[in-house]
Amino acid sequence: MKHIDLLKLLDRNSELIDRAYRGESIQSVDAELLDSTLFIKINKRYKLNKNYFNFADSILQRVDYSIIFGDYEKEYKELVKLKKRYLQTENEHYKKSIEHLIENLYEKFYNRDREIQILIQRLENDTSLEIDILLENATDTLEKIYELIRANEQIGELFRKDLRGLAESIDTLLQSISMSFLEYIQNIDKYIDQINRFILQTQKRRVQNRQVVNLSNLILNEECLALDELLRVTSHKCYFTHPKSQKNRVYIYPDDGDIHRLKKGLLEILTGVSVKPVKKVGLIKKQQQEKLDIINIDKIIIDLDSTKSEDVFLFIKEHQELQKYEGRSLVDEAFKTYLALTTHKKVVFKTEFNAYNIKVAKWV
Amino acid sequence: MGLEEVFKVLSKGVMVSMHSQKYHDIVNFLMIEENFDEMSHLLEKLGFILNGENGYFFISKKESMSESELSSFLNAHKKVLVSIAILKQLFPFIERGSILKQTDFIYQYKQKEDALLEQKFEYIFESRDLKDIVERFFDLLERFYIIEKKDSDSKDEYLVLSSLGYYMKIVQSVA
Repeated sequence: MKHIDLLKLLDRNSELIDRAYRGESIQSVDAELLDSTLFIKINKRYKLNKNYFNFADSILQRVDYSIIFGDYEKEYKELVKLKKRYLQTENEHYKKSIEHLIENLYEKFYNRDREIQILIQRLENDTSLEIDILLENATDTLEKIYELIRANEQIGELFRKDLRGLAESIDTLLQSISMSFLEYIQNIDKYIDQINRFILQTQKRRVQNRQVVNLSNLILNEECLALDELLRVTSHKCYFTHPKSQKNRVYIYPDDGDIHRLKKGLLEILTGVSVKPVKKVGLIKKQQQEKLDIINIDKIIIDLDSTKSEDVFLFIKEHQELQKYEGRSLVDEAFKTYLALTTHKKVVFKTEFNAYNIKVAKWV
Repeated sequence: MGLEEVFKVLSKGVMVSMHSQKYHDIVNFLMIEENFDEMSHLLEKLGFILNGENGYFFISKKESMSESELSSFLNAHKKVLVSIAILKQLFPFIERGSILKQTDFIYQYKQKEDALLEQKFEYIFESRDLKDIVERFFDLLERFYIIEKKDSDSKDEYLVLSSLGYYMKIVQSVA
């Protein structure tokens, strides 16, 4: 069947198709409508093909809450594959396929953006559904949009980087759609914000509705005392409700009968006073094993006794007890040891100084 | 002194204690049985009850108080109830007729060195200055007719009134 024949067929059966589209149950249809798969027989009824519904809904901007956005995983994989093949073979066919797929993807983005817009509009204006269901729908939609973010970024990356430089025609195509493509991606944030706001407002509305229902129940059941009490306690929150006048008011105390009813409130007050002690947060350090570097002075003294050094400082510096030190710390440690030994009776100071500007001491 | 004046004072929420110097006229009036009965009768007609058994006079409601009345009572007496709890903690044997001195109070408070007590005071008066706190504490008890200045020119000595028993009863009801 040619496209023009299909249009003619639609035209000839426009009334029937319209009835089926609006949900009417159809008992019988012509064979040619069945052959064209416009109608499908299900359970003795003839139903309009889902594809037609999709087409009509999309053109007429009607979006159902149950719409599934899905991601672009298939297209993405296909594009990557085509790119690889094109690079290998440089066959024009692959280039055309890439261009075609890019256009397809762009259309998908365009449609999706419009679908989300319509969905949000529908959510905001829907008065036919119960608030709870509406909230659920809004949360579902939000989830679906969140899922789109990642998919969008993946395709964005592909369009901005990976597919660039393959061929001039592809670059031109990508360039021409880049602005609006970017806009569709950015719109997502805007939509998320919008839906979040809607959810918050609807939740508030739900609370208000419950309060109104509560009030109406009190009125219908003629619970005057409870109603009176409620209005008096919340007079500052209610429109057209004045707080009870304090003029000519007799101040009353709770008597023994009422005192026991104070218990709960009083407990709250008294426990509210007892502030919990602040828990001290201190850093507990793991005990570290300290390695002590001890210089055995006695050993040095024994060695000094046996060698009778002419310069105690130089002797200490060369001693094996100080082997573990190097450079500046060697001199410092040697000097400390030297100082410790200066009071020893066998130390005799000379007048001259050595290369380290330390007074030469002789061991006798 | 007549019914009208007594009603004026009691309806404003004054809890009149038996040995209060400030309201001794009212006490003298109500201590006469005929006067008390007449006042009681009058209030009953209006839906109230005159209480006077435990050494203090106050008005209560014939029916039980509503939740909003109870919660507004608690709200208005929040600080004084916590204060009574503190007073009993510092002076466990205090009772009507006792003399309470600001200086003793400061002494006891410092002796305790209780961090929780400090927090309670901070809760009530939102202040940490001891002098300020003590002055406001006594002022609060006086405002709720629980203590009275012993002499009008003395700032240190206070007489503890019978109404203390009323608040003690409330505080102890949760114990």
